[in-house]
Amino acid sequence: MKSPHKSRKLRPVLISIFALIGCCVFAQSKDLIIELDKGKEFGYLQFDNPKGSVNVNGYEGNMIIVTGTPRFKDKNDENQGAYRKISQPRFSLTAEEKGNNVLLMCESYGNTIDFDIQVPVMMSVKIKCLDNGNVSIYGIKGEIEIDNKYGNIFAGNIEGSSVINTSYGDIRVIFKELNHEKPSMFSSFDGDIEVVFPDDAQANLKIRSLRGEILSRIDLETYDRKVQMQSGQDMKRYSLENWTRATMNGGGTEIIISSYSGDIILNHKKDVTFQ
Amino acid sequence: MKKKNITERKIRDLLNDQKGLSAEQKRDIEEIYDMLLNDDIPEPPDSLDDRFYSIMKDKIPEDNGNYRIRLSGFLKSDSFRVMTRIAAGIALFIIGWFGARITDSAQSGEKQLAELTREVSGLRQSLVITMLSQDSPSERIQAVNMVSEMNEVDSKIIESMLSTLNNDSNDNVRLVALETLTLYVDYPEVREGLVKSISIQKSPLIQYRLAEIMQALQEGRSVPEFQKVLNDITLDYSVRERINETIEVLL
Repeated sequence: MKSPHKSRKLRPVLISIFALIGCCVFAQSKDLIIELDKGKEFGYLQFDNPKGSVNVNGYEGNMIIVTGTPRFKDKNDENQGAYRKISQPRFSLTAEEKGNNVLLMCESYGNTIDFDIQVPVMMSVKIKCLDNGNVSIYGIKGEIEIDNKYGNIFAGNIEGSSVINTSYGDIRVIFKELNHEKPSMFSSFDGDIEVVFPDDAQANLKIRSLRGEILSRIDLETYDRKVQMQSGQDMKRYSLENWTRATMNGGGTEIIISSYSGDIILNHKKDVTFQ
Repeated sequence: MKKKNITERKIRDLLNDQKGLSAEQKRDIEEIYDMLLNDDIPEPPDSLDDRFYSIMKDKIPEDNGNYRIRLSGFLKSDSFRVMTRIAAGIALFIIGWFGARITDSAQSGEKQLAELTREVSGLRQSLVITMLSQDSPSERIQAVNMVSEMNEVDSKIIESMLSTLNNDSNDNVRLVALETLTLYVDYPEVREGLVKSISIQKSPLIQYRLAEIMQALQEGRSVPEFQKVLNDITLDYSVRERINETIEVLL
């Protein structure tokens, strides 16, 4: 279990390394551009990356620009004797668009490919990373669904409801605004979860970490545990709820945070440096 | 005395009218009437009264009897019958009026409420099933949360919750569905579904929760399923430990 301070120091470093990787341009890198219909308010992007990181950024525009970059250079990229080696693409990339719903598909043949995707701000995304990468999403207004079993997840400057799930990575979420109606949920098995709320955010929190701690710099009003009664076929069942329930600024958006051994850290925006 | 004279005169008129009678017969009748009308009839002595009442007393039981006689007399009288009929009519009317008002207000209120509740729960259930098929995972989580707020669920809801637990693309939705299903473990189909689900789940958080739940439920049928899970070499170490503990307790 990492201490929250250590992990918080680590995250900016990780992210800047991550950004650097994105900046390194190999010869193979070529953009795939998908044009969207301006008339529709929200678009939806779905992408599964079999191996590698995904970095999504919101910008003012109406195109999706996908850049894929192999993380590692080929070992024997040098010329072989009298022959000069001509490099060939290490992955295939296909996008299907239908009514602003975009399905992005990648076949990378076991290579680690990092993707940098520019999307319009009004976009909902569903990103799944299967192996060997982190997911970072920044500055979009739609709903967010991220699944990255083995890596870290960062979602910054977001507004929509987010459902984020990892097993062994850390989660860091920074809400720009918190007024969506649908619930948001973050869960991890082993990683820490940090959620940064706007200073005046109103939320109902439902938190549980079986082996970890809940650490908060926000004033929360915690409730007594609820007694749940359910009537079965010929008996009634009473149980004490094993969630911690709390409200922030009188309650509002429902936020569910669940972990097994990770710590859960709650912060106000004014208290964190990196945004 | 006046009455006597009137009677005498009437008799004489009657006698004169009778033509078939001889003069002798007429005289005889006149004599008898004279005797009857003119002779003073002696007052009955008090002893006669006493004797009469004593005989009555012997024949008829005491006061009770008298009262019963009077009452039965009254009951048998026509006026009583008429009165009872009218009273019964009025009573019936009043009872009907109030009864209708009371039962109407109570029953229709209850009925309406019950109908409304049934309708709302039916609507809610169909809403849940619709929401569970939405693309947005937050919406699906919202739907599952709605199920956890219901006091009773039907088999349709249980089925859709189990299929969410086993087939949903998002681990968080599955996790919430599992938490909700633990509220309904008294239903045998839920238990069975949870046991069957053990070998399907891949998320360590869900596997861990299932191990905890099965131990709490003392569900022996889960052991072979957990053994299947233990065969997976990529299984998380803490989950493996927890499952071993559960199997040890259940065996």
